[in-house]
Amino acid sequence: MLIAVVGVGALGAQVVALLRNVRATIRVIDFDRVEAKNTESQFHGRPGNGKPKVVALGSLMDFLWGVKLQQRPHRLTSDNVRELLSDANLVIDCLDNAPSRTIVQNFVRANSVPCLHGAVDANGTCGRVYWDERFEIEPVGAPGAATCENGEHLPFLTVVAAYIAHSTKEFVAKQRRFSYQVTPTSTILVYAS
Amino acid sequence: MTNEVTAIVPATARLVAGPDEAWVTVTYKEADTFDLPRPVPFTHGTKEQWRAWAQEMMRTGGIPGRPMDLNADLSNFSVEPVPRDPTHPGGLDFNRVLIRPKTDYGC
Repeated sequence: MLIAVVGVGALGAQVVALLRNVRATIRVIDFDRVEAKNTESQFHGRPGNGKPKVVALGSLMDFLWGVKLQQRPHRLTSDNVRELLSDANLVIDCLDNAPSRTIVQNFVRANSVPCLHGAVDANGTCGRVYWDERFEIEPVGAPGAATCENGEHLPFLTVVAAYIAHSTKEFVAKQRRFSYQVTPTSTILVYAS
Repeated sequence: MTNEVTAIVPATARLVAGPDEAWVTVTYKEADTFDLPRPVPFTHGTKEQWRAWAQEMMRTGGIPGRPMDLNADLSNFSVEPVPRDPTHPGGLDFNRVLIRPKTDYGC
């Protein structure tokens, strides 16, 4: 099985770390580079500063657990989405903006690829872990806005990432699909199939 | 001092929602998730109605265990109807309406 994780920032990098023992190959897709501030809020360390996030994460996963990632340091666009996702058995969307999410959603729906979305609000009060059939993109705010700043919401983002990883593992092992709404104080199982 | 609404519907009470009704769960601010004290019409309700009812109850102190909030504002919140789905293990056996902040970030 090939799992493609699109976006390896605050959510995606944590998800990849939690999927280190999943029985699948993991491909990571992100055009961005690690900045010093990212090390406070994301699963990226100081040795990765200045490197593409997929390269830094690949090095970290290999160093810590011997896990090899397929690294794609590209911005996902409508021109390359087929090349990046067509062989994936599962897509995990951890993007930070509606236009890119739309590209992913259009592709997975057109090609019947299972897709799990992770999304949070800007204030770190609510997150959604939804399978695509129930996921509506909510275009508010600006790309990459303050959710990740200074690691303020790191614990909550890690909780959301844990639910993404849990739902992924349930799907890989049992083909079950759990969708959750997550807050700092409660979690609701919204859909199950 | 006992709030009259609180006296009628204690926070521990749980009414049974009918097949055409739904529980409304509001996620407002950090560590602030609560249910409205009684079910609302689901089949014949609209997102605008659910949002307005929830906001009104927040503003008038109609939610047991939660203080009156005259400035409660749900106008930019998402409203998602979740139909009951008892056919799948773990699926809801009652209708639900989720009102929550919009979530478009992933970082």
